[in-house]
Amino acid sequence: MAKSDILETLRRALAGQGVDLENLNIKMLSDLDEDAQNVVMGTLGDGAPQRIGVRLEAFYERMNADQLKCVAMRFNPAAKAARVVDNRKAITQSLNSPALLATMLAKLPELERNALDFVARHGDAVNGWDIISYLAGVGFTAPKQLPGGSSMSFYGSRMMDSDAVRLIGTLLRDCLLIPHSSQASWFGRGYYYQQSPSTPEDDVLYIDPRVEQALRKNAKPSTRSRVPLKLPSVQAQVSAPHPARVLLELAEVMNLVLASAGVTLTRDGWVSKPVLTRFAKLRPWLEGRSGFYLDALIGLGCLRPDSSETTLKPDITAWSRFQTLPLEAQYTQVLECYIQTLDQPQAIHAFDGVTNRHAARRGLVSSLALLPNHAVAIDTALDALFERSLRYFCSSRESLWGGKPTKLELPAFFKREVLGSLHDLGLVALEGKKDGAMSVGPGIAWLNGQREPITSSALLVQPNFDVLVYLDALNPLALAALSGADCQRIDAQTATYTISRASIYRALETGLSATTLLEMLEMFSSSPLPRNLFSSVTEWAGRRERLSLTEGVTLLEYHSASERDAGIAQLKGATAVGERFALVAHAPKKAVVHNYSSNPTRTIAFQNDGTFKLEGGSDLGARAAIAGIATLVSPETYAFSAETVRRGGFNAATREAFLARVKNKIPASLEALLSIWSGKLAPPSLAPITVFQHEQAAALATHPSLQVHLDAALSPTAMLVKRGAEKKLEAALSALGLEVGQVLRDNIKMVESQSLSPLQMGLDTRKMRGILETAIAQRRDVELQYHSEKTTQTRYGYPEKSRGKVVQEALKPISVTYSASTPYLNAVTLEGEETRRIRIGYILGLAIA
Amino acid sequence: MPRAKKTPEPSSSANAILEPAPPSGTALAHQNLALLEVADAADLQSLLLDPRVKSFVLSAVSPTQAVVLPQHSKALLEALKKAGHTPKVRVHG
Repeated sequence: MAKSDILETLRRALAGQGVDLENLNIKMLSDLDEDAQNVVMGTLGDGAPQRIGVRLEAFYERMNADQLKCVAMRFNPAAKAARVVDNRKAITQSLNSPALLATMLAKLPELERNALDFVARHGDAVNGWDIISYLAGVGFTAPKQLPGGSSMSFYGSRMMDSDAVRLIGTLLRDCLLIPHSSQASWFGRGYYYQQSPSTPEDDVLYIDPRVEQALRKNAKPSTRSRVPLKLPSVQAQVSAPHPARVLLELAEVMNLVLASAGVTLTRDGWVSKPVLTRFAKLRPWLEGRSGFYLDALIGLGCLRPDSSETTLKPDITAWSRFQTLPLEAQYTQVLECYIQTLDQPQAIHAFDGVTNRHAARRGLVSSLALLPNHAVAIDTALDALFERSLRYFCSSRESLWGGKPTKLELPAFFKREVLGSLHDLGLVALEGKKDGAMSVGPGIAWLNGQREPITSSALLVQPNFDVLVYLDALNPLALAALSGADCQRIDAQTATYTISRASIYRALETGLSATTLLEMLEMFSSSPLPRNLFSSVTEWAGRRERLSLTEGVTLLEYHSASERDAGIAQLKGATAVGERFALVAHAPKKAVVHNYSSNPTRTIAFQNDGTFKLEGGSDLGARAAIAGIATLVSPETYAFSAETVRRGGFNAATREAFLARVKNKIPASLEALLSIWSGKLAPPSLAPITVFQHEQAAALATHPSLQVHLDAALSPTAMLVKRGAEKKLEAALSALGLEVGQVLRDNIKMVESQSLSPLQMGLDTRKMRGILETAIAQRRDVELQYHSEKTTQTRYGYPEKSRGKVVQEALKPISVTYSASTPYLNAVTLEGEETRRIRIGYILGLAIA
Repeated sequence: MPRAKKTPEPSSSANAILEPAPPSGTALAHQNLALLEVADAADLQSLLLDPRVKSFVLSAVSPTQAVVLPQHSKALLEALKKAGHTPKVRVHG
């Protein structure tokens, strides 16, 4: 999007909220809705000067009399205003007078002038931490105290007492720098609910466009430049990954996502662990970095949550746009994603000595430029960087909560980042990734646009379809051409890819054509492409064309072929499908609509005799299901047919379609028959058995001489005899002096209770939850054997839940809910009189009716 | 004497749509379906004889086209890929 387009979009978004950009009357930018903020934030960060146009007048309402006085004193000291109204007038008068602004700027101390000039070089908005990093880098140090003391209120909040805030404190107080949000890192936290760290957007600082204009008009050459650190050199062999490796790995993770058509998310919105495990298995050389690259792809907008927010779907357009950027720009954007990486929830509130992790990462990356070109001991380097720059990104726990800051020490956070992410990103070279020496990595040259010119070909395509990639010679198009290949390995200077049918298929699915892919490979290969590659790629592309799946289609169904042909003649863009169907872009207004993405209407009603009728209109799902399992037995009445089912019409799709459309319950016997006819269950067996029957059968069965011949118990009074052991049991009973009868006695109850079906025992919680959710969806009853949940108190008075007595009962499941992350089943008894809340982890066995 | 075979041979035509069709003069619109298309009729027949693929196909609507419920399109895609096919995936419109 061009910058003018962005600003136009911003103007429209603001106008939609009744805000005129030219006459801005918003209080703080954070008051805008998310869309408008996104447009604002979308204009930041691409390196080119950005102008948002935030005017100071909009903040008058947020300032108290003391602050207004300070601002007026700064902008227009000659006015000597006393009242609030007069102070506002004096400030506005100065802002609208280039002469008064020039006078004000001329009086600025060197630190303030350098800070404002830095912002003006970037437009009128910049992340505040960049200003602090710049000021520290050119050798400025923070004053000893906050302006106005620690009790003064700014924009209704108290300023945090830290080195960073003291550095730009007067500029903040006097509105020369305008904060984006009161949640910014510059303000202290007053209450518990304010303890969430600020986001990079919160920390943006603006200057009034009139001040920016005055700064440019009264430009002064800066006398300050970055002062490199002088540190002792150590003898060590340091190495860092090539920055191109970061982009190759990012592309490979995107390829994995494309091949798996998305990434599943947990309920909290994090990438689920099985995805990371699968990626690690498919590409072991990524060594667990796939999580970072997935986060980066989300940050780049190349992966977006679908409408259900359970899956991340690849955005091919965003990915293609990203791939057209110069490699240095791609690298910078990935680095920005690293800086803005979201912390896991448990890490957000853990205080580790840095004011905020986004800012600390930003500060650490920019301060690396202060290091000398030779290898230095890691601890020495970090200590020196801390003294010069990194301490501005740290704060003591006391200062966060308004207390007096205590002495700062180098937090372990920085060393962890240097040894981990910064090395992986190629920004830091390490001595064998050990805790020894470090130096600046090749990534810094990429960030500063100092990449060496490319003089050779990037690829070498070999007859065995292997592609050798020279990392130094890589360019965006060659990188895009590699989307048609799978990465096998990456080392310091080269990488090896393999072209396969699957990789070509994946590339074609992203919208590349086989011809384009071959042309790109040919363009960047140092030798002519092997002839067999042309023929194979062309053949693979041809095979793809023979089979297609189109999602989201609308089919019109007519009574006859002639009606369909007449219908097509009236509909623009309609094409014939089969004899009676037409493929159309949209359903005509007059047509009766069946929408298959919503729950179907229940139109199949079972009769008492096991036949069923179609009531109301029938969609394709109902008709296909019926065609696969039933025959017409009388007008409008169908019955299940063994022959139809055995012919194979009853499959997963038709079964699901049928069950979803049944009004009342399918008789259990018919459902069992369907399962047997379709081969899902084995046919039933009929065989004679021998029963051991006695009032004390269970007690007798414990005798060692009888136990070995007995099988399952039907009840305490009846047990099955093992096949072939009848004679032996009879002999054992005789040996015990018992006479054996040959006829069953009617006065003994053979079976005590009848279960709905055998209980499935020993399932894990996830599996049980799945079965229960299916039962709920299919409106089926369940029989459960479970421990009731018992709540007791610990000796400290806290409630403690544990397993209570075992209960077995038939229930109607209603829903599955969660308490924290523990799943519970809500159910009612079959009579509907009592409700149950059962902890799914406490279920011992279950059966679906 | 050879025993009579009880189980009929699997048939790809088992997935054909039966009546009732909509009454004369009316049109039924079936929205948000997935449409599986192949180059020739033999390809569809062989696909519908493959139990891995057939499970997710609702019904054939022409010798070379079959409809799939939207909730099964992802599983069908996976099944096709597992069976060695490289289907072209499109979104209508």
